[in-house]
Amino acid sequence: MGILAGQSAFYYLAAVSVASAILAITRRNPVHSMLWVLALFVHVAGIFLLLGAEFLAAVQVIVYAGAILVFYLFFLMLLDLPVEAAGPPFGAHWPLCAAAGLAFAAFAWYAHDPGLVPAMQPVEPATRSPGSLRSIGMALFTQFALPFEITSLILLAAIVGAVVVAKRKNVP
Amino acid sequence: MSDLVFLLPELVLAGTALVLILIARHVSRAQAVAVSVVVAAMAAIFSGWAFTPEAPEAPAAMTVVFGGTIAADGYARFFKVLFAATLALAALLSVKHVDTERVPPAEYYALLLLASTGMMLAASAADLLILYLGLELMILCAYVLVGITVNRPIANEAAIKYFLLGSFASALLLYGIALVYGVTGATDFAAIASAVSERNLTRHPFMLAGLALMAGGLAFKIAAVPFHAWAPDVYQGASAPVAAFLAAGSKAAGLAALVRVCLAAFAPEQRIWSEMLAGLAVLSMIVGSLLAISQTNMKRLLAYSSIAHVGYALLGLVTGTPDGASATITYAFIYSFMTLGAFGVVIALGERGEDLLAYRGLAATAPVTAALMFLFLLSLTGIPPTAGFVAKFAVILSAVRGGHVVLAVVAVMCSVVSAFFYLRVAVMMYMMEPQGAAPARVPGAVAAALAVAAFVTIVGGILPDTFTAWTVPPSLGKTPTEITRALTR
Repeated sequence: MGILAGQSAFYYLAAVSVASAILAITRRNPVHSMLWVLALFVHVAGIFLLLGAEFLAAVQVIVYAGAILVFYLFFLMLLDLPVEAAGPPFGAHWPLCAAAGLAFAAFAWYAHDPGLVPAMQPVEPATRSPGSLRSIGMALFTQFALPFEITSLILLAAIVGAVVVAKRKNVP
Repeated sequence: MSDLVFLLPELVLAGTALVLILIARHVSRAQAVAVSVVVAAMAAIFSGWAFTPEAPEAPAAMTVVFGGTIAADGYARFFKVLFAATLALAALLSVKHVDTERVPPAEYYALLLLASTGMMLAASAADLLILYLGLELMILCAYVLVGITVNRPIANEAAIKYFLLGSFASALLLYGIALVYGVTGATDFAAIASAVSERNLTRHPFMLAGLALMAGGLAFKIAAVPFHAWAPDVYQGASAPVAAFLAAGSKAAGLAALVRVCLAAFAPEQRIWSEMLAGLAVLSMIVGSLLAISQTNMKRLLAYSSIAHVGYALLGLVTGTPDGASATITYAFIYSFMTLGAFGVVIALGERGEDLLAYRGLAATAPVTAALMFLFLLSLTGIPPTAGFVAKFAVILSAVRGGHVVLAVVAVMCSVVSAFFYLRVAVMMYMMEPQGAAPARVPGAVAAALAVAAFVTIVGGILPDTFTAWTVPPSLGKTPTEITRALTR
């Protein structure tokens, strides 16, 4: 893939991501917002693919687009909000939120300056060729085995907590 | 594999939690579970004591295990003992509450155990990743424990508030970690410190932003002003044993993490975090003491008192010296026991223990309970024969030695203010006519927990040097050769 093709693909993905994010927060119908968020997730996954992070792209699609978004949609449909009752899309604090967002953007722009942040050693192509999934797996079960196990404890605590909180209706 | 020995206390607690979850269907009474939890806590204390090397003898380079992510030093051991003791006392205090409120006992104690595991991991972390995961394990269990009480709307409200604000604070902490990683390329404390000093990143704006965000996230965990808003509502909404566990354990865990991060990872930026923490300390002391005056609910009063006490505890860390850090962790230790004791008296009095007016004339109807409460109140105020005085004296002394005289003056003035609302309870107990019937007999488990808390409060006050041998500051991690070896691996 030529450099020009890669660059134009990136600019396409980035522009559509930003546009769909803006559309997602300005639509009045929450289901429409969710569908724009779906478009955002898919395009961000495309950016990950361009960076050579195939696993991250797959996770982005499966977990965010597949699981979390469907979860949101479930909630929206369970609540069954009529469009007119959904209220104004922005609360009273929107200038504050906009300022926070702009600060983020300024921060990101600042990070763009190559002199400020030291360059990371790029991953050697030889180690990357077996696919990022394999290297993630190797890192997860060797160097990061302990954090991995702690994460499993966190998930266990979350499951137990969810069961305890949900089950209590049945207590006589 | 041999590194696992250093995680024995965590393994004991997590293993007990797993067994409890497995047999949860067959458990109906809290008593047996509480006993097993106390036994597990004892085993954790013993294994932590037996297998962790003494800090002074061991060279600094030897104290990091698991590829530099877990510190096996005296500091970690000290906090593991503290968390196991907090767990045991909280387990004893919970027995009656679990039975009367129809909380599923096995799950309740399993969550207590997992929360303590998280605290231990956070205190022994030498890597930002482990630190974050440990704190997250702790606070996730805490959200559920706060809301676990059946059919109490106030508990549900408290749990939701805690969850929303806590998630926000976790995000702050995580964003701070991400920024620090972005600048230094490391999550390892020692590697961060050496990267910052070698590449002269002390004033780097990303570094400052990361430091501020991490300080904010950790300040939420210890409920320092201005990140304190959750504490009164959560302590009031949660049942008293859970509030006691949070006030003692999660606060000490937050302090443990904060002290180690500041001293080990951000040592080159000591001037900056020192000023940040001084601000947090002054605000916490003043706001906590002033707002406590108008409280009429005992649990809210203790919540505001916990906010003020965090301010005192931070005084030691502000100086940035190992001695100051020792004073801070001594404070965390002693505060844990005295606040567990005060909450224990609230639990012993049952439902009426939450109302401040119910303490009128308590000395006539329940003299022993009133005397214990008086002891804990004296200690919380910081009056001489109790451990609270020793702790407060140590932090104020280290603040004066570090040249922070203004902080010391504020601390003393806030102590005077706090004497008003602590001793007002004592006046109610001893100088007013009794109201209503005498409280029911104190359950045996609660009495045992109160006895332990009172013992520590008295011994710490009469023999002030008892704890100084244990309260060692965190080891500063690895030698530079160890860092390069860890990086190339």
